[in-house]
Amino acid sequence: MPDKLLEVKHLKKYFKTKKGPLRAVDDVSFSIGKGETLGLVGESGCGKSTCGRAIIRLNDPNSGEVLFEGKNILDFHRRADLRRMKQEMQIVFQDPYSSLNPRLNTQDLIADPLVINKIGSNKEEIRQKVLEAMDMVGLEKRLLDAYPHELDGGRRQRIGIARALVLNPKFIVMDEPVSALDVSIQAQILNLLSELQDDLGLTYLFIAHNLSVVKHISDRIAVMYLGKIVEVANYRDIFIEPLHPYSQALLSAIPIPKRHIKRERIILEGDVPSPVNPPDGCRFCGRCRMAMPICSETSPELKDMGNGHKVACHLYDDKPAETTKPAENTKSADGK
Amino acid sequence: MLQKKQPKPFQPELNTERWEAKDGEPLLEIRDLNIIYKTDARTVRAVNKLNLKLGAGESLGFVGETGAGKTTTALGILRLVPDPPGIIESGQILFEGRDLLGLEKDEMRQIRGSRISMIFQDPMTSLNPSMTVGAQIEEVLGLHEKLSGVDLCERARHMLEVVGIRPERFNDYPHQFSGGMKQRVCIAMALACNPQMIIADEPTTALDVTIQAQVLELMNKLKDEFNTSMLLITHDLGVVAEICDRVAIMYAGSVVEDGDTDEIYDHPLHPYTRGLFASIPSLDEDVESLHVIPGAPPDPADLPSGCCFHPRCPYATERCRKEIPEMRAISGVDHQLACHYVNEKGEFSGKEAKADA
Repeated sequence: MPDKLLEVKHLKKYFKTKKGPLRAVDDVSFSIGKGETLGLVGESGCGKSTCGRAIIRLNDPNSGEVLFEGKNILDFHRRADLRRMKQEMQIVFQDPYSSLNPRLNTQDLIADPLVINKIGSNKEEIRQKVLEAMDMVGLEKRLLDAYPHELDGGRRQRIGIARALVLNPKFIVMDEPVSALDVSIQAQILNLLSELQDDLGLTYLFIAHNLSVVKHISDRIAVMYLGKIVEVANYRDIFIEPLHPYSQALLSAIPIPKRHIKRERIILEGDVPSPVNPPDGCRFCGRCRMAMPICSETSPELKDMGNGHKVACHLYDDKPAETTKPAENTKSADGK
Repeated sequence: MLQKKQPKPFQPELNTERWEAKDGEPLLEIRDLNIIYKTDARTVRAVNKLNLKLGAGESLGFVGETGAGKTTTALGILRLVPDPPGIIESGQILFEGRDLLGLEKDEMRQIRGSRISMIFQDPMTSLNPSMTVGAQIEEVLGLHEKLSGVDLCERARHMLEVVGIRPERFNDYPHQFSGGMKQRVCIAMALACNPQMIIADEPTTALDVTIQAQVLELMNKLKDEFNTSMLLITHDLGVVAEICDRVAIMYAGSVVEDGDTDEIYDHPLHPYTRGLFASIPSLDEDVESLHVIPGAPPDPADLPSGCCFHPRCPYATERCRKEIPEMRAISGVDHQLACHYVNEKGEFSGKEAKADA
């Protein structure tokens, strides 16, 4: 892995509810190298968005450390420090239909972050920066005065990306940036994000529930379940050889747009339990087909199985750095 | 028609007879359907000369992007297009040999929920939050079947069981169920009267992938068990590959390519279909950048002339700009498409135009 740009250690974010704390993010640790994309996948309610928001302090985490270029940004309290930090860490939201102020036109929307951060001394300079950002994300100049309702979803999301880029960040949290878009537009935005990353040396945390999208864009992928990361691996390894039973089920559940492919499908029973009172021990043990007595007692730790492939599962307790799998491969032998 | 009381075991063919096709006649045939949404400012052509066939017991995947007119077509079949502003301008919708567009409102009400039922996209909003799920299933049964109170309840409980919900949950309210469970309730409601045809409008789009797998498996099983035809509206080509016999690709209000699922997935011919397949990130291969269909779907209030896809098509020529292509069948296989540059043998003769075209 290249130099670490961001390191998250034991991050916890609980929300207060009447029934007790909702453990949205419960002791999550990972790191992202410079210029790397870490994909964060999981089902709704598993805490992936909360995690992304906690890292850039949109929701302040309860405890843990977020080291950005070696400094713990959770220790920042002075306004100036926070402002500098937030310029370097930006976020692109999921729904371009609701995340843009309908009363602002393209120019004002993109200039907004500049005005807030008091960058650019005069209107001309701001306009110049806005035009640069628009050019980077492939928005035509004629759309300067267009309002969000006049634009399609793809262009709206381009505005969302331009708003993040205009401050010259180093790190961007992509919170499901293509989930609300159609397939043909989704491909355009994904290509744009890859190009921008290459050109500007950006680092992404890419949050999504669509696994084929995540695989396409990520260097490494972390799978989250009920507030915990259960597996982290290189984007290829996790698809070829998922180790955690949850990852295996998740991957086998993806509908593949091809015929004549016979896959063993692991259908999970039941639903994701509530994060308010999560099960003791491993969070997944209630739905896991490989569950053992120990699973409901102690929570497994993330363990490196070699080559940076980490898994949190008791099945691998006595198998150090060995890549045995609990079930036969669920991926078919077609293609590569 | 009330038959002898038989609360259990439940028999799917208890109350509705199956329509029998005469020599290959499709169960549903849509001919040249035009549906518009008309306001003072503009006229949106949501469905534009649409032709579609669905055989008895068949499942058809109806694929297209947002705004392609998929849902409007479904609402048109059920005659539920909101009017105003929606107007079914012209065309025929033949169902069981009758033109639905010619029926009286009362007759149509008899068909909805009983002969054709619908599963909506969002189970969170399509159930009544103030009624128990049991009562909601009873309601649809009560409207269409002459069953006494006890039988109604028995049947509704059985339907819950069929979709994998414990009958003890009969008196629970929708908010007590998770998303996947709510969608199961919707499926139970849709199947309660043993309909001839189900329209499922993005039934799994709002669900997580593992829950989607559960629901798809259930739908696949029930479709065969009940011998029901299904029109599955979706934008996910993966879901279609999973459960549909045939597939129709929709673009700008009309079907551009349809046929047997295997055939279309193996040999997509229409440039739009091919672009669509190519723009999905693959799980098996690594690619630097994805194939992109340039531009965005056209504004349905201002459709391009000729072939609606020509502004985004890499092969577009002068002819495409002027002439609307006719639906043409490929000989020997179940495969039809509307493109000027594909002949009956399924050979594509288009040439990639210059980058600016």
